[in-house]
Formats: sequence, structure tokens, C-alpha cells
Amino acid sequence: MLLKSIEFNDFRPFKGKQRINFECSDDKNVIVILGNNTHGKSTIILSFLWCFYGESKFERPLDILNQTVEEHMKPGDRKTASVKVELEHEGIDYIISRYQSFAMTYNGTLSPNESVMKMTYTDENGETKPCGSTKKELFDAMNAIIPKDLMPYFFFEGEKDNNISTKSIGKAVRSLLGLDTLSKARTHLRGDTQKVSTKSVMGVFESLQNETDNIKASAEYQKKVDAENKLKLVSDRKEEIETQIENYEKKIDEINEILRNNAPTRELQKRRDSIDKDLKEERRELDNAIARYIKNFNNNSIALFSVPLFGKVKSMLSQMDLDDKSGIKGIEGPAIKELLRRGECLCGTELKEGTIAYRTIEKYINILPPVNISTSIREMFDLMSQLEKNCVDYINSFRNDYRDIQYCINKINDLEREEASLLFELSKANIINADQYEDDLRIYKKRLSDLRDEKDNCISDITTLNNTIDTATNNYNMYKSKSEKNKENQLYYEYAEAIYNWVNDSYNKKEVTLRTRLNNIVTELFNNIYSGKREVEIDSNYNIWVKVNGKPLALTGGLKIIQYFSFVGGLVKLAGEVMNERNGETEIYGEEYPLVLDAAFSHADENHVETISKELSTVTNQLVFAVMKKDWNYVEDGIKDKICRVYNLNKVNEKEIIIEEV
Amino acid sequence: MSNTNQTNEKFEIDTIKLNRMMMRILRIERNNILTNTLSDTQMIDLIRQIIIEEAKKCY
Repeated sequence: MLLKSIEFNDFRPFKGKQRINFECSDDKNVIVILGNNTHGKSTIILSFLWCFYGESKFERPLDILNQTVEEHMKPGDRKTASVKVELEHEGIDYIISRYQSFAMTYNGTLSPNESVMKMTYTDENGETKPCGSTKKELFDAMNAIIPKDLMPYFFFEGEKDNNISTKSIGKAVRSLLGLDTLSKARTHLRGDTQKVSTKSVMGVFESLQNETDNIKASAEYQKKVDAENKLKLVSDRKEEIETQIENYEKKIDEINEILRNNAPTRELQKRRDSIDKDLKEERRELDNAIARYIKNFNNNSIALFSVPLFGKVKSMLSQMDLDDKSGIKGIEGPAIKELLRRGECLCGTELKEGTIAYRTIEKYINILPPVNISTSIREMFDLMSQLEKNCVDYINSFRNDYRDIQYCINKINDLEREEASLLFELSKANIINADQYEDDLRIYKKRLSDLRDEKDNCISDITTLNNTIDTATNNYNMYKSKSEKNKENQLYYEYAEAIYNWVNDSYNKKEVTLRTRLNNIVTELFNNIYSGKREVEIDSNYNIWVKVNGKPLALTGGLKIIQYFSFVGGLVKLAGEVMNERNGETEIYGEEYPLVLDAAFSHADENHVETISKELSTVTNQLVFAVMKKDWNYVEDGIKDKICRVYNLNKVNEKEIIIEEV
Repeated sequence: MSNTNQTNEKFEIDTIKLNRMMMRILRIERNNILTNTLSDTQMIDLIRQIIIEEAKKCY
């Protein structure tokens, strides 16, 4: 960073527009601002801090607007005070402006608005662009050019207590030396936390890798393979079934063909079976008829043989005198005697000797057998009549039985003849076991039905498995695609990690190297200014320590000033050196910085004023001295040939100072 | 930085691509420090894009 100009507008004692041009050349790099006490030297130095960071370290810090301007304001008037700094940094031109407007109230007080910063740069096409819009963005942009923590080092105010800060200025110094680029890259690539930050480049690439996608892809692939294997088994089985179905259908067709061809023979066989059945029936009927015949003969044939004899018996009996006497058939004399002994007739009438009933019954003794046989003869006639009748019946039944026997015999003979004829026919035909074929047919048809059911199941399974394969394939492709993306992200992660490792390594090495070099430069400067030999050490926080025999010295007065300028001078020199050592596009270290010093020598003696100014003019390309005229003589001796411009601060009155180039 | 390709378990890092990435990243980092035009989130996105672009390039 090198200053090009600063312009004030109604800012504190600088009424109207007033400008200081800081542009100088390599061999003439010193700008001098001459002014006695209260002539505005400190205002110029501190106005940089106000412009860059909005901090007012002035005496009466709220008095930003020029007092003369303020006094001329009427109620309702608005006026603006501003500071505009033009500078060049890393080859880019920047304009940093800060404005603060004020309104005069109707009660005569000045009402300030908050100051507003603007920062623009000119890009490679010559276009002016803003460096941000929010306060933070503008602060960051400014801090990248000149860290706020280092402002007091480069814009030195000698009349204040310019102790070198004991707080860590490491970050600011690293930024100054160009390490902030590596530091920022490191933060963006990985984050500053122990673990990879999820918001960093590596973190984002890491989060995009999803290991579960690989697992899911494998699982889907396995599903697909399993389904394909199962499909093959089911398809093979379906083909087997189809072959079996074909075979069974053939067999069934063959059997049907056989049975069709065998139908006539089968009819003969059926007829033979029927005849066989009829024969058995007829033989059973014949046996029954013969049995009836014999039984009838045994039981009833006596009449047949007796009837021829009845003619002679009837002739002989008819010649006998048979007095019927009205005997009672079936009852003989002993039965009458028994009734009389009992004293009671069969009809219930009491039979007492001497009674009419007794005598009536008693007379039957003499007309009944054995006293009288006419009853027996009469019974004989009746018997013969009965036998004659029985004989007729027997002959009729005998004739019927005989006819039945004959019928059966004839029938049997007819059936046997027909059977013999059928057997003769069957003996000529190719006899098969049709029943076996029928059984086989039933078995085959059942098996065929089962196979068709199984085939339907197979077809259903095949459809399901094909769907499973399609789904698994789609899922596999989806997860595989994600998995491929994972691999890509893994590759990007590897690159990001490799870049981070290089950046981190470079940062650490460079930081140590630069700190060591800074230590050496500061030591040399210190001893040159001091004209003696002291140990100077810069620690890891970039704090400077002057030591004797390894022990830090408590510095006061002139030594503090020497320490201060040694450190600042060393820092500026190193930044400039490393900038000039840049090699290639990745070398982004260092930068030129100005030293703007106000009353730098107020605590230094005459000898040190010369050595300090001489040494400082060699470490920076832009040295701005704001000095009192009384000190200028000593300064001028050391740097006379390096002076580029001289400005004089002309105090018109207590409220107005005019900047004049000499 | 080695000029030979660095190989890890799965991926081969192309040194030429890596150098181009590093140059581009440091350039935009430096540029953004100077101009402050991009936020940290935008920078992270931009660096990711640079890595992806360079990794996909064929030389």
C-alpha cells in the first residue's frame, strides 16, 4: 500500500477542500509536512484512522466539522465534513472516503449523523466498483489493505505514548506479509476447527459423499442377482412343466386313441359280461325252480298217487249203512264224558246229573265214536274229496314248476350259445386292458391339471420376479449413479485436501521464515539506530523484546522510540522485500507500506533523529514526516536528497489551517 | 510439491490439475482480500467450482 493523496473537506481545521499529494519516486521517497504545535500535524495523521476505520482519536473527538463552517450554519442547514484517501495496493487503485453530515438545529446546536464510509477500487477494465456495502464488508476490505491493529505502527503519533502493543498482533503482521491469502485459503478449504468444518470446501465435498448409497446399490444389485437366479430356476421349471404337460397330453391322446380304437371289442366284452351276469341269474333261478319242484313233489305227490284208489273205496263205503245220527265231527265219546265229569258245557251251561242239559249232552256218547263210526266214514269222504282237489292243484303247480325249469334251461342254453359266439368273436379281436387305460387316463389328467396349476404359479412367479428385477435394476442404477457422484466428490475432496495440505505447509514454513527474517531486520535496524549491540527477539505473536544476556530489558525514553521504529521499519522493509521477491502467480507475499510519522522525534535526541530518519528512509518507499520546524534541520541532514515534497501547515486562526506546498 | 503424481487408495491426483487449482484459488483469494467482493460462503462455492472444473478438464 502506498498513499497517493489525502483530501479534506471542511474537516476539522481544514476549511474547504485541501489536499496533500503523497506520490513520489523511488529515489525521492520522503514527504515532509512542516508545522509547529497545534498546526494540525496530528490531525492529518489521525484523519487516516478516522477515514479508514471511523475512529476519532482527536482532541475533542466530536468536532469533525470545521468550526468556521459550523458558525456560519443557520438552523436547518446541513453541512458535510469528509476525508478522502487515494491509495494503491497490490497494483489496484482504491478510493476510501468517509463523510459525516451535520444539521444545525433550531435551538442552535449541531446534530451529527453517523459517519459513512465508501470504498471503491478500479478494476482491470477501468471500472469503479465497490469493495462492499455493509460495515463488516468494508471493514474487512480495509483491514486486508492495512490491518487496524497495525495502524498505529504505520501512522505514528509521537506525542502520544506509542508503546508497542503487548497484545498479539500476529494476525495483523501475517496479513501485512501476505500470509493472509494462505490463511484465508486454509480457512475456506478446511475451516479453522480441529475437525473439517462442514461449511468448508472439504466439508461440503465430504458431506456429498454418502456411503449408504454404495451399500444400497450393493443391496439392490444382490436383490437383482437373487431374483435373476430364482427366475432362472422358475423358468427352467416352467420349461420342464411344459415338456411334461406336452408328454402327458401326448399320452392322454394316445390312450384316448387306444380306447377309441378298442370301442367295438369293448362292446363285445360288455355284452359278454352282461351274458355272464344273466347266466348266473338264470342258473340261480333254475336251482330255485328245481328246489320248488322237489319240495312240491315231496309234500303234495301223495294225492296224485292216492286219487286212483278212491273209486274203489267210495264204492265199498257207499254200500255201508251209515246212520248219521247227527254226530259232531271231530268229537268223540270220551270228550263228552269229560264235559259231564266237569259239570260244565263248553258254552258255560252247568251240567248236573239229572238236568235236561246233562241228559241232552249224555246222549251224544252213543252217537259218537267209538260207539258209532259213521262220523269217521263221513270224515273219510271229506278227506278223499280234499285229496282229489289237492291232486288237481298239485298237477297244476307241478306243471308250472316244470315249465319254469324248462324255461330256465332254455334260457341258459341260449345265453351259453351267445357267450360261446362272443368268446369266438373276442378270440379274434386284440384284447386290451381298457380299465387300466382308463385308470392311467385319470391319473394323467390329474397330473396334467396339477402341472397346469404349477405352470400358472410359475408364470405368476416369473412376472413377480421380472418386476423385482426391474425395480432392483432401477434402484441399483439410481444408487449407482449416486455412488458414481460420491466417487466424483471423493476425488474433489482429495484435491481439496491436497491443496489444503500444500497451503498449510506453505503457510507454516513461510510464517517461520518471515518471522526469522523480520527478527534479523529489526535487530539490524535497532543496532544501527542505537549504535550499539542488543539482542532483539520477536516472538510467535510478533511482540518485540530487547534483551541483555537473554533477559528482557524494561525500556524507557529513547530506547522505546528506537525499539518502536526498529520494529515498524523492519516490518515495512520485510513486506517490501518479500513483495519484490515474488516469483510466479502463487507468490502473493508482502507489499510496500508507507510510514507516516508525526512528531517522531519528540523523545529522541539530536543524534538519534538523524540516524532514525536516515534508516527509515531506506526501509520504505514512502516516508511521510510531519515535523516541527525546529526538528526539521536535524532530519533534513540525514535525508536531504530523498525529499520529494514539502508541505507547510499555515495556521490562519484557531479554527482554520491552510495546507500549502512549499 | 512433488512433480510426480500422488496416488492414494482410490484416486490419482493429477499434479498439473492440482497446480492449476492452487494458482486459481490463491489468485481469487488474494483478489477477494483486496476487493472483498465475495462472502466466505461465496468463496467456498467458487473454490469448489474451480476444483470441479479443473478436475474434469482433459489436457
